[in-house]
Amino acid sequence: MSRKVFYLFVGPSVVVMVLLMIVPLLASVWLGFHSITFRNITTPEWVGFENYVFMLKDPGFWNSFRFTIQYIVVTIPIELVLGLAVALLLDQVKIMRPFYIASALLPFIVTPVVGTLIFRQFFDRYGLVPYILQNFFGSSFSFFAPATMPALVIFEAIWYVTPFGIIVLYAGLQTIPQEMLEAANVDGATGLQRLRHIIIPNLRNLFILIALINIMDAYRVFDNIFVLTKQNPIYDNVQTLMYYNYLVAVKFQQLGRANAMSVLTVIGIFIILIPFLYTTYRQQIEVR
Amino acid sequence: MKLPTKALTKTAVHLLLVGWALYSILPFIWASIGSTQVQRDAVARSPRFIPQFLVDNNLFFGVLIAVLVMLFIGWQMRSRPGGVGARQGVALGIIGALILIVFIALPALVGKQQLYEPTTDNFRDLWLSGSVDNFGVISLIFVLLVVGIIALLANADRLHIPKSAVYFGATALFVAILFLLPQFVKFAEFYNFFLNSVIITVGTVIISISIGCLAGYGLARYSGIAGVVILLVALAFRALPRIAFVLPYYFFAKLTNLYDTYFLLITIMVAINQPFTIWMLRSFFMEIPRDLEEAAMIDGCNRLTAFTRVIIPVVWPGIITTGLFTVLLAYNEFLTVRLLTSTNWTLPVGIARFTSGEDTRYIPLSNASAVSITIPIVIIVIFFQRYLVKGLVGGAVKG
Repeated sequence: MSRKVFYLFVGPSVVVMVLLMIVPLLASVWLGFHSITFRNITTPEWVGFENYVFMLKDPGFWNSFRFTIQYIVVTIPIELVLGLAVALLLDQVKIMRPFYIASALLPFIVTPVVGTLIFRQFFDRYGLVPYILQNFFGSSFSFFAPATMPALVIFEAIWYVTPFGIIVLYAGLQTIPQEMLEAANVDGATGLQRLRHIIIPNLRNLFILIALINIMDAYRVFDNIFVLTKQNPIYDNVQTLMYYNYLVAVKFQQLGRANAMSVLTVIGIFIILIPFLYTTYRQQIEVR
Repeated sequence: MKLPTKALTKTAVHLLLVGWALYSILPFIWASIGSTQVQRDAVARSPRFIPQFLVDNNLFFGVLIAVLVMLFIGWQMRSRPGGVGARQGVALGIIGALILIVFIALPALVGKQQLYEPTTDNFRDLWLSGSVDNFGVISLIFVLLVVGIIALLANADRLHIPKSAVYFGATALFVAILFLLPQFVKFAEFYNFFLNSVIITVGTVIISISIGCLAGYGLARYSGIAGVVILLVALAFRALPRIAFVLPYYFFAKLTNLYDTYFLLITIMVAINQPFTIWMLRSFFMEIPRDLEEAAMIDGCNRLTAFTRVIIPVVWPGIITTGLFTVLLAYNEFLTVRLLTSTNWTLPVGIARFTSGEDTRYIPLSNASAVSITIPIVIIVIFFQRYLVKGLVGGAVKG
């Protein structure tokens, strides 16, 4: 394909991305240098680096940063282990497999606001889980105390992201050469040995990939926190970066600072992304 | 006696998988139960979750559900080499018997405090304002029309018109029906949210897929460095948080009167979705051999006609997969709509208003709205499962 034709084909998409993504990003940097509230939205006032410095000193920002890291560190290993376990189980069966896959997919596909809402109802005062716990242990138990909120958020996150791990790892299992597993069988390898020496090494790239995608997604967790905490400020220990960013913009009405914060977040994500972008670059150059 | 180890392992695996499936869908089942309760039942000290009619007619429902489950599992077994053998028959029988026993024992198992009288009032309150005289007739016609559209889509292969015409026609028909419906039925606010969701989803899908197809095809066939640069930039954009784009949009929208318009929301969703779309479509276009369009170009097509007449018909499954993910993105989007609208809400934002505060009056309504918004997604998961899995895997493994 000639270069001219290529640009004709790619043109509309590139125009959309430049106009609607690069321009807003630059605008975000520019807006970050201004003091803007909802009152003076038409007349922003230039304040230089003040917003950026303010955000870097803001305990709320670091608080949300810490929770986001906590969220990533706890959620992803559990997702990988559970995902691999269910994927291995799925690999064992033929009958009913579409049913299992469909039900496993549902939490991941459903509207996050609604998924979280019904998850909350399930654990809420009138829900099934507290009722069962009370019947078994005799004491009433609230999941919505501020101290237990992080656990509930992470539990919900696991319910929500594990399907992705399951599906990707299950597809990965199909690509492992059958001869390898058969050879191991002939040599008398136990199931555990096969798992350690054949399956896990073969899926290594997928583990990294799932982790990476989930790290990127953890930055944008918003809907789940919004619904689970009912926007109640007592749950300030479960604010993720994006949720805190939203609070700065909408609740504290500081659009300038909110833009500064989102710019800082974007820089953080780019730093994480660099190795990933580099490997992708190498792959694409090779494919070419 | 030698234990049938293999059968036991299989049973254990199936039990674990059933356990996982329950873990995934129990909250949904709980919400569906909640959507048929009145407030008094919803906030009862010990949950009331067994509908009265189930206990009253336990034998009938026991037999019915046992037969349905056995038929379903038996139907799943049909692809098994050797068909349904004696052992499978025994397994089916055991499952059916277990279900029947549970239902027979139901009146003894549940106490009075677990029972409730189910109602459809929540759905009526959510969707309709005031009573409707001939609701039965109208809903019957509506259901028939929708079933007709789905049948049309499912048989698109057999018709002698281009598939794109069928898809566009069916979508246009569907939207037209939704617009005409308020002429006959008095709807509540929730229907407007639903209509907004449909408009934004359809608009986003059509625009996003059209320009995404062009770009994806170009990127799949061009080998210059510019292609790699575009792909990498797109990949980086895919990772960025939404709020980084939405805040400047908020500022612009307020300045230009675009705030609270479909145009703004559709453009933004097209943009947010574009990086993902071009990566995914590119991977589908790359699977198509170059010989195909080269042959067409020798036969007198130019690049564009080769693309529209030869390549697009082959790549339809890929387009459907990408379209599904675009539908999900636009249908599920919350933050963008919430920040950039004040009245033209979509369903997720409309539902989120039930989620704040401690007012228990809204519990049944929020359950009913959750069920309403989830039904289309359940249909997608059931009918398009293969496409979804393909998309998730393709997007992950290749992207």
